[in-house]
Amino acid sequence: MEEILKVKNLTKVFSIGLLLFRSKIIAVDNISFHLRKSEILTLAGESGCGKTTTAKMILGFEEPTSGEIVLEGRSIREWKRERKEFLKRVQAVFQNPFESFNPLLTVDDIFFETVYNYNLAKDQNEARKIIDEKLKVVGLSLEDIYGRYPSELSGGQLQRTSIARALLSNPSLLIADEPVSMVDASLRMSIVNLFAQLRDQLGVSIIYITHDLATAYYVSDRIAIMFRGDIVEMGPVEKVLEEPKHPYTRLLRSSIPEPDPDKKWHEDITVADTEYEEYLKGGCKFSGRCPEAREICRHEKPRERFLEDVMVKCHLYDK
Amino acid sequence: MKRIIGVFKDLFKDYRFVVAFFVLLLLLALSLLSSVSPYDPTRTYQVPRGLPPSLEHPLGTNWLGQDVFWRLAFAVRNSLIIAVVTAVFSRIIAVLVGIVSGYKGGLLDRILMTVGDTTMVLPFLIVLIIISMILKNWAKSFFNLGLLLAFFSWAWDARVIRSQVLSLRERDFTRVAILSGMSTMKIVYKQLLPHVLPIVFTTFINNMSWAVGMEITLAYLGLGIDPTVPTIGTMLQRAIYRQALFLGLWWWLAAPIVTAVLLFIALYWLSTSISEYLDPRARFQRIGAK
Repeated sequence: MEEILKVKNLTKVFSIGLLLFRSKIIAVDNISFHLRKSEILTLAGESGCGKTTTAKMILGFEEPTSGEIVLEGRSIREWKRERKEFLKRVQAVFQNPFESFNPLLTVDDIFFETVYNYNLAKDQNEARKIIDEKLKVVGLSLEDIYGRYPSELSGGQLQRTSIARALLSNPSLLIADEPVSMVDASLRMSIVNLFAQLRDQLGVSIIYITHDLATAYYVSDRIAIMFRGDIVEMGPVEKVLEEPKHPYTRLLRSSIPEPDPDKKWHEDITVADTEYEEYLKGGCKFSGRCPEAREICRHEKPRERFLEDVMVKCHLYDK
Repeated sequence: MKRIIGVFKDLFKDYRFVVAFFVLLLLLALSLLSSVSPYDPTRTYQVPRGLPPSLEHPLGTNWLGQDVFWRLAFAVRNSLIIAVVTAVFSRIIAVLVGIVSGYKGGLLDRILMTVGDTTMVLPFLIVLIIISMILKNWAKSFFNLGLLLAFFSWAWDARVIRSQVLSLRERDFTRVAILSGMSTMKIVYKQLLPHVLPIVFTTFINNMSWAVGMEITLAYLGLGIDPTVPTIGTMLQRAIYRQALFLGLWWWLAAPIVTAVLLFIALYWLSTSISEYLDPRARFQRIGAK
């Protein structure tokens, strides 16, 4: 299958502080992955692991420190000159539905803007038809949102509206940055199902960013587990989550509480380092918390190893 | 049109707006009345001097043989012109500088903010005194005085607007606007400007009252505009300089003071009620979400 997005050795370094007290945070550390057509790739990991920074770099809101992002065979640097064409192909849904709409404008305004800016319709009637069509996909209609302010709609409605807006220009890539974390549990499934439906019916490729492994397991084809800016394990979602190879993936899996009153949700990890120290660790960044850490982990960065079709970065699998 | 009426209906639920609106309307009418004045405002000894308020001279006459009422009409007109010129020009500079440096950032932001900070930390009263001494004839025109005051009052509000834009720029809806293919100019005027407008409106009015106050201060110090041209400041200065109270002509002194106080209160109430109205959350709290 054709690759729609290719990310090669992508790195983002943030400098914080001033002059003498300057220090660096490596938010995204040399990651590479690719995304095929009509595929859902999950980027999962704890907060501060670089998921959102990666998304921002793909969207062009952040400049990568180094590395390459290739969309449909063209580097993002080439796309810069045709930013509008690029954004027509790459759309995004953000975490907070209440923040995604300007509180001083009606919700339909941004829909008409999108339609006219991308020349999707010639006149008002055609625009209305296109908008209504996309809103039907998410189970709403233009009448539901026309002339309404964001404060007049519920969070679930807004999030679906936000997805419908992203679909207007028929993007080939949709970046969903924690789209269900602010939505209540009953609506979560319908939105996640919507993503699966988009992939199957419209052939949209989706980067699904989440820390919720349950929905990731349910909807995605492949998953990349990120830790402190690094992809530590990547592969088909069943394989990665059913038989996790990397100790961090195991930790993530064990932190899903089971609905069984007899099972205690015990914690056998100790946080040895501060977050800041973890970012700057020389060896494996997880070594401070890893139950299976050995001497080599503290000095040497683990390299990529392929166990069948699962990529894992861990010294456990050194030969 | 229907919308404008609706806006006024909502605003009239606030007593502060009602009072401010009518006081300003009164002062505006007074200043418009100046165009039909029977007397030349700069000439003296046109009426018998020192008359108390009567039907013929509603606010009496002063020791220089001028009708206080008609002089006040001119004074309010001229003071309002100074205030509006100051506010318009300083708002234009503040909005442009605030949005450009907030949205673009980087070196341009630093340059603009340094210039703004410089005008802010200059002791403007002393600088205004020096300028009006050096450019005596230039500063005598009240349009020029307005420009001068504008130059010293844009920086603070430019900073406020900049900080607002800085936070708006990072909000998701600005990102969504970028994703919807809007150009930068369009994002600025459609997505950001509505958030900045309440600041512009309220600071416009606050800036007006600051300008009126500054004009009074400068006139009282005998600087600024020609003392024979009536403004609230020069009227007050004349009345004090000519010992109005000692002469027993209290109406001569009271007229500019009462007008200035009314003007200040009206402008303040207008600015608070409008800013609360423009912020939808505050509006719902006060008049109830109906």
